[in-house]
Amino acid sequence: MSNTESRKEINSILIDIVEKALGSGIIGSVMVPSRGPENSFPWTLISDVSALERAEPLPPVMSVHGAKALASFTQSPSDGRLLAVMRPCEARAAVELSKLEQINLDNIILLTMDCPGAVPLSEYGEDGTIEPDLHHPDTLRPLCRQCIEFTSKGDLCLAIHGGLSMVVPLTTRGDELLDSLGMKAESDTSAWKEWASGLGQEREITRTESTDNLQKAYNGLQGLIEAFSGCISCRSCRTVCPICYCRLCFIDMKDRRSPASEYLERSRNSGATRLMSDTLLFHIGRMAHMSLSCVSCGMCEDACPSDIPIGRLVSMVSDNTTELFDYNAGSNSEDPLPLNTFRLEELHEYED
Amino acid sequence: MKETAGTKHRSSSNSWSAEIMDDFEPRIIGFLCNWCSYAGADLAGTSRLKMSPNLVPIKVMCSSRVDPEMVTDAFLRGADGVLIAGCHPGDCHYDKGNYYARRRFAVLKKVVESLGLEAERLRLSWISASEGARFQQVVEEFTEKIRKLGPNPTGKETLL
Repeated sequence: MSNTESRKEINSILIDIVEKALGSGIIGSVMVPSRGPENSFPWTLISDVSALERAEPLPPVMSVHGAKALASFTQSPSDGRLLAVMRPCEARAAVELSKLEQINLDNIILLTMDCPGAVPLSEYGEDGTIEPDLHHPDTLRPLCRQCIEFTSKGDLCLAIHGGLSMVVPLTTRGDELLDSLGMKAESDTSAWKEWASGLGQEREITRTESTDNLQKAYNGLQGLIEAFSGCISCRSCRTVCPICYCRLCFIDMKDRRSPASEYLERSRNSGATRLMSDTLLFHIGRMAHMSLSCVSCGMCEDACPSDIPIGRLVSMVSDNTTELFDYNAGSNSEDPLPLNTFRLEELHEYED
Repeated sequence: MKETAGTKHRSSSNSWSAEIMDDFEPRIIGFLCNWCSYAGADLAGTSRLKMSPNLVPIKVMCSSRVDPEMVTDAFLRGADGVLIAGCHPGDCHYDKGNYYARRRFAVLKKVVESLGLEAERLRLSWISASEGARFQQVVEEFTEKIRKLGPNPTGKETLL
């Protein structure tokens, strides 16, 4: 189990860095998952070095999305310097949420790592022995298997592949932190970059295959009805989604509630009507609202009690919508949200 | 709404015989902006321009007021076509609402396309307050296009 070793290794290196930063006072507090009872990994905001004992910066599962945890308390700037240790997809969502004004990143440094992926929550089980293994995709969540953004996100990234074991700064903020920790190492990162592009290419193939299969299985109205027939309207996909930050979702708005007579009319028009109503409207509406910022983290799919491939579907749609504006969610904090800007001359093919 | 031909057609039979297809009257929902396109529709009316009665207009203050959810709702509840019409680019009463509307419309169309639904039932057009004739032309063109496409299958679905 070489990968077990490497997750353990990643954890111990990350804890060392965090300890150094916190102990020296360069960082005021750290947001990191900690080991809880029954193999749980809740996020914790740690301000005392002694509490790092239970820290598990890279848990085998994703329970609460890191960007969601960060957004829960950082809408206004934090007064002390904060280091958030998270996976690459969590750092990307944090950047999206900062653009959506849900996180203020001014005093926050994001530290990521070469992510091995995560085990599905449902398969992790009570014994908690399954380990995410990069080389065995069947141990990973479906969206982790096809993830192409598994490294080099945030302000710094812990590189452990390509013979490296060092923190690579990605922004000036990351650079400054490494400097003040005295950890700046000049090293050749070419083997690491080669590793990333190799795995990226493999993953692209998986991603294309997965999209093809999805399109075959769930294309068109009948396909969608089939895909969402098992939806129990629990809205868990929305609840765990880091991007779905609205306090009141369109589907829950009071003015959407119709009198019984309208449902009777719907029923008369087509012979019968589904209750709870508007299942497809919820999912398609959600895709129209958030797919541009989707980071393909797979939280929605992990949370779905009906095994709907919702994450892969949203991710597929997101590939197409972001392509319109050549946008990559969370990769560049300078790029404005596509719906917050426009060009005078564009998209004429959509006008009739 | 119950009296429109489209509804009658839906409740009349489960099979689409050629006779019934000929009978098909599209039901199109039109979100028209208050300042340009609704006024354009008004002008078409006061100018007594003859056009198909298939478009049900809904006045919105700006084309950018149209949330993709509203279009999706109409589409999934059996509207055979959905039109969003606003001021020409550069002429928006609110300066730039229609530019945002164009982006949102493109996103929605991509979503619908990606899922293999009939994106050609959605249309975005710019119609100014002085373009009564253009309003007539857009309604005629779109109605004909939808007539050829046939009824929106969502209208018959029970498990949406």
